[in-house]
Amino acid sequence: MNDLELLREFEPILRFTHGELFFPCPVDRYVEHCQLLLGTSDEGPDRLLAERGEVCLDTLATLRPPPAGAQHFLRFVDRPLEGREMARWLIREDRPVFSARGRLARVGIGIRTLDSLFEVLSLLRGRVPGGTVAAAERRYQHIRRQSPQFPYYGRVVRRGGYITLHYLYFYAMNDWRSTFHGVNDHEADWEQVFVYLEETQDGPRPLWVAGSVHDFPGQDLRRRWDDPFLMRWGNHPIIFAAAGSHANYFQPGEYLARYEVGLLKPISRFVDQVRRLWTQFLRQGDPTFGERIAGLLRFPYVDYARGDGLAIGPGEEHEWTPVLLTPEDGWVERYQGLWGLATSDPFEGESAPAGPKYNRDGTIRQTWSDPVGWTGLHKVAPPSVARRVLESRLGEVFVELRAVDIEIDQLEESLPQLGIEVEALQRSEVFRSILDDRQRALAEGEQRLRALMQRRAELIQTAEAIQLHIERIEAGDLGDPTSHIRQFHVPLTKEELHESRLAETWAAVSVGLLLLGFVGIVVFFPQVWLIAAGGMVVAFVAIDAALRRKLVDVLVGGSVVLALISLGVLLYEFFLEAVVVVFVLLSLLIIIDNFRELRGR
Amino acid sequence: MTAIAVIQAITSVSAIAGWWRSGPFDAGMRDSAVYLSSLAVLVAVIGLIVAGGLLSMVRWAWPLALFVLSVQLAVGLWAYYHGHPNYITLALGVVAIFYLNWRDVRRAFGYLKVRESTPIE
Repeated sequence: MNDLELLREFEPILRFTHGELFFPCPVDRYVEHCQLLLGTSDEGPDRLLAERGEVCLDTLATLRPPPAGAQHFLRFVDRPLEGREMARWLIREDRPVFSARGRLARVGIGIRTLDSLFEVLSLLRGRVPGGTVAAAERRYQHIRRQSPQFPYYGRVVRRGGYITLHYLYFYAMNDWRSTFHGVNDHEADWEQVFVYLEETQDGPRPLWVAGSVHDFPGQDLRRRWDDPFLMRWGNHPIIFAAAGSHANYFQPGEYLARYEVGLLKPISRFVDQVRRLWTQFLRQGDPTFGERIAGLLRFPYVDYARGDGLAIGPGEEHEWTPVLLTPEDGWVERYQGLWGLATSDPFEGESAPAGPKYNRDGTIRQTWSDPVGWTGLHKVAPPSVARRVLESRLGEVFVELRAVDIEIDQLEESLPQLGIEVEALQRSEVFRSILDDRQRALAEGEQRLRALMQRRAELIQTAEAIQLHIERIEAGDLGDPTSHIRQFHVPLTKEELHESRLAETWAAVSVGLLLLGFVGIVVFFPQVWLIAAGGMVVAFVAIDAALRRKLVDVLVGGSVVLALISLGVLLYEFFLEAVVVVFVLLSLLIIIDNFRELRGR
Repeated sequence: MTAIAVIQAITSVSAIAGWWRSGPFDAGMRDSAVYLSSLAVLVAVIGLIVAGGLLSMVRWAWPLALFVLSVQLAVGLWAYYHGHPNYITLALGVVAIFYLNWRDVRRAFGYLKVRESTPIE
């Protein structure tokens, strides 16, 4: 099979959410609708290099590198929709209806308060201007009418024992924030899916599938071909693209994604240490407690990957148009600029991405240079290679075992002789120096024999384990397909999805009501403001917890906080006594333990 | 668990007895004092029920015990703030809450969460 046939044989099926506005789009058409600009790091205006209609893929391929501190970028939307135009777009007849329960009903009032502050702060960030999505959607629809096909850009990489099929999807816009209440919007969006194959005598065999999810790297992103959580249609994995963000998921559903603000990361690390002490050392709370505590410092967003909208791929209503990337594609190899508007967002979430090969800072993406390592597959040998590697290792183990056995035999023969010699020298008082020398040799020999015996046991165990593993691989048993996953991305459960309408309304108004309540207390009850404010917070938290059916969790959290404060008070008042009590208890424990030993003798 | 239940029962009984001895709802009491003492008696009665529940290891007793202990600790902290500390109540409350939140105890009462996931059919 040639590369294109390989790509076609295993091409994924992409299922979108109803309400999605942007689907995989041909890059040449997109570029033709863009302006090309040069942005600088200083406050000066961006320089227009080429107008719409003057830019094509060859333009990008032949661009000279920008001056230091500057960056090329494309601009898909030069004039966002406003006023009447925007209103017309909003009430257009063919507008897909998307409805979802609010993300805020899925988290507690504390994180909602923080989230509101973050929203206020985010107004100060550099953002994609309002009306951009509307204008981008109009332009995208124009492209789609001109070129109704859905392309993917593919390449085949043979490295690390794997044949990696790299599928790239280009979207004209990521409208996660504006259309689906997500974290960010940006012009242009590159998403990727990988299928990892191994070459066998019967042809290529699929082993793993991985998909990009919000710039997360690592082995959690891949699923083994026989994983029951991976849906397939024949040789085609089914991927569920999230609405707006186009993140790739393996199961249909809604995913609670948590976005961590960089400024909060040091606090997050500290909380993580406390969490470990609390759950692992003190064995307090339940195993999920730590995750919930860690989640307090991350803002909640929902990725809607329902798979109930348009579907593209084999057996679906729309087919793919594959485009094989080659080193001759200069726009991939040489264009290091951004594929859409460059904003001054310090978190970079609102800036467009660079191309399939490059990061925004011009470095090469790991997904391009090392797709095997990107999902942690460097340490996982394909089964055919694994058997060869194991057999080779087994041979080495047997060689070492033979050498160890020979040395053990020699020592078992020589040590008794040396022992008798030492005994004889001990009875003679004449040869003191010879005795010392022989005793040293005897001790060294004994030590060496002990080490060899230990090594022998290890080698035998290793050989047995390797032989067993080879038998398992021959029988097709590759072990638990999910053993490599540390954190599952699983959709929200039915219970989590069906929050009541009351809970939804409460989530929407509670933070505002709380703030108004504080103002009211300060104005009307200034004498008892502390009690009143405390009572109001407790009441709000209780109502919130009851509506979210988390009353027990909140009760546990509240009681632990009160216990910790009380402990602090007790330590403050009785520190010396506490130290004395601890020492007395320790002393008693030691005495009791020693007595037990004495009685047991 | 028996120790915590017994301590809870003793605390509740002594609170009710103290309230009864001091003459409940005296004519000269301020409204706020009446409310507070009524609340204290209510918590004490719940505390007695909790003690029974903990001894019989019934599921509802665990959150109810945490609730009663939380109220006791909150009142204890409030009293400490106003210069009337009751350190024994605080110490007993701290020990009881940490004990109840201990993983094995939570498991015994059926309040230990496990991660659930099922493959797609």
